[in-house]
Amino acid sequence: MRANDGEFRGLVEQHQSMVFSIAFRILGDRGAAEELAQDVFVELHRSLGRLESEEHVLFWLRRVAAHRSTDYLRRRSLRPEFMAEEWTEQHCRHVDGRSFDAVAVVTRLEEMVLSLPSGLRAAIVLRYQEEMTPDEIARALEQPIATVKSNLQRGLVMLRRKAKSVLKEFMRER
Amino acid sequence: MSDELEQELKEGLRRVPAPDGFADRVMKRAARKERLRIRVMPQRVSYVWQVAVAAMVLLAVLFGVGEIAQRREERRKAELVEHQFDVAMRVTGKTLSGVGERISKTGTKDERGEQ
Repeated sequence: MRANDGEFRGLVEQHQSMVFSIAFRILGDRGAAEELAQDVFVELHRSLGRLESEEHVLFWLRRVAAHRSTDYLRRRSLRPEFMAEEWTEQHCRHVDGRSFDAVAVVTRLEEMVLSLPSGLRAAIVLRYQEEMTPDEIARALEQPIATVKSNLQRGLVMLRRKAKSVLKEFMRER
Repeated sequence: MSDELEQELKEGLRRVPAPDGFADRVMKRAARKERLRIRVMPQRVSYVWQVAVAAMVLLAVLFGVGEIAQRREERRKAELVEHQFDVAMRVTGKTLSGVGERISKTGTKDERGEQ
């Protein structure tokens, strides 16, 4: 695929929210997510000649964003508990047009996702944010489909457990 | 519970907008990288040439060494053949002189017998 500056800018504008959201939800840090998302697009600019179609670009962006995010976590060994605190504060500033209650529920849900181990988190983000099938996730993360299915199941079990206690706490607060 | 949670996740994990000016920052970084790549390219080309020249010199040296070794081997074979020829000639000479002596002895006997 070839693209001049205008076309490349079009690709960035089309996919920036997706790439940034994948990085943000896996890292839980707005600054790191932006830097990582920029890196992904700069790499796309260099690799565009090897990509064959718009679908290929979409697949490539999801794959590279997820891989780089989990690699980043591995390198920094960030603690999810610590990030969850940052996330609440940062995220509340950027969710517009929703009631406080809705924002609070969503934020708690996102905190719960953020507290999952990075491997499970990547699978959950791709499954529920990007609505990818387990097969697509397996190809994107270069993992066997059985591993992806097991990660999704384990992630849901952990989230369900957390949801029970978090929602109880939330209702008490209300 | 699972369906409910999955539905909550789909709704809760919607994409969030990228920060303002994100695309501008990406375009600037991509342009900077591109300029750097173009600036680095001539150096790379000259590096490629240097490697090519070094490879040619190395090939020439290897070829020369091979040539010398081959000539030396040919000379050694020629000397061996020469030596074998000398030995063969010496053996042949001795044999011929032995045969000559025997012929001359036989000739003397025949002459005596005729008398």
